[in-house]
Amino acid sequence: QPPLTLESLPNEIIFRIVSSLSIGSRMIVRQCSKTMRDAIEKSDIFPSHVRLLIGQDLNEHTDTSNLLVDVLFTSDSDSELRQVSILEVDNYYDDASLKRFLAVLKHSFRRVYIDNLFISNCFELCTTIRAMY
Amino acid sequence: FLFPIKMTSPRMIKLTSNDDKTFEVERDVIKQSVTVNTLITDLNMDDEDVSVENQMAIPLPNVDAATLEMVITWCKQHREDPPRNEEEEEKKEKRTDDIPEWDKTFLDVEQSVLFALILAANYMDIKGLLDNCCKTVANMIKGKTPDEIRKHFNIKNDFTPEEEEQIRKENAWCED
Repeated sequence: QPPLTLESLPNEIIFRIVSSLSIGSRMIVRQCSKTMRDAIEKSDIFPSHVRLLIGQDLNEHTDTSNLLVDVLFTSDSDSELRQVSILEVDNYYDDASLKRFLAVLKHSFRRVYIDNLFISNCFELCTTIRAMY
Repeated sequence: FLFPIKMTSPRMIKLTSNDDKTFEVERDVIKQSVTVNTLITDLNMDDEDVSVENQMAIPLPNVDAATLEMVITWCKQHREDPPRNEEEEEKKEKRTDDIPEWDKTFLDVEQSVLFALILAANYMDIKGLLDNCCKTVANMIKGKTPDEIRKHFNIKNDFTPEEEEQIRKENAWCED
């Protein structure tokens, strides 16, 4: 018998291993081989759409503000929110990485919902984000 | 008056691996395996009148002797663990930094041994062992690039350059 490898494990075991990883790590595992990609995409742990909750975090100590983007990943087979990732973007008005992040999200997922834009003083950014979708 | 105290030896269960090695294990230890536990109950093997010599051995066709020995060692170590509430476990936040120190050392083995243990824990339905094995593998994956994961687990990259480029684009947001 050939020695056991990660790829030779049944899909249910691969799901179990990968489900304790962050969404980012899951997507990196998906990049390793077709077998791993297929195993992960067939499972309900692979997100097919995302919801964004965008808020602002004021840092009293440094008198700066960060934009917090809570990304709630959900899957097709289960509408329950599975995981929350928080992306902190410093100086969001000038940071191209947020727009890049949102653009790639749009490319990567079938659906993106923007749930709640509750920042009062970044109307301009909210309008930009809404326009992207 | 002093009455003699009847010393009862622990109830033993026989398990046979797929390479025909038989192990005797305390009933109280192997109760952590849902598969074995169910078989014992279904086959009325808890009958105290049947001695271990006359008892039928439970065959475990998917587990070899070396792996079964490890499974029994793990079950002995965890015999005092409180029963798991699977519903509660499902609701818990998934994390991989809560593997007990004893398990970390115990599971520090070659990958093929660890994977055999995972398959055995899955077949014997020992959720605690399965969880800690899977978390150990997840910890090996964490923080690695796709290339490093391939190298670590001897995974062949079978993507065409076009497919690889496509999946790299999809993943761009989660890379540095």
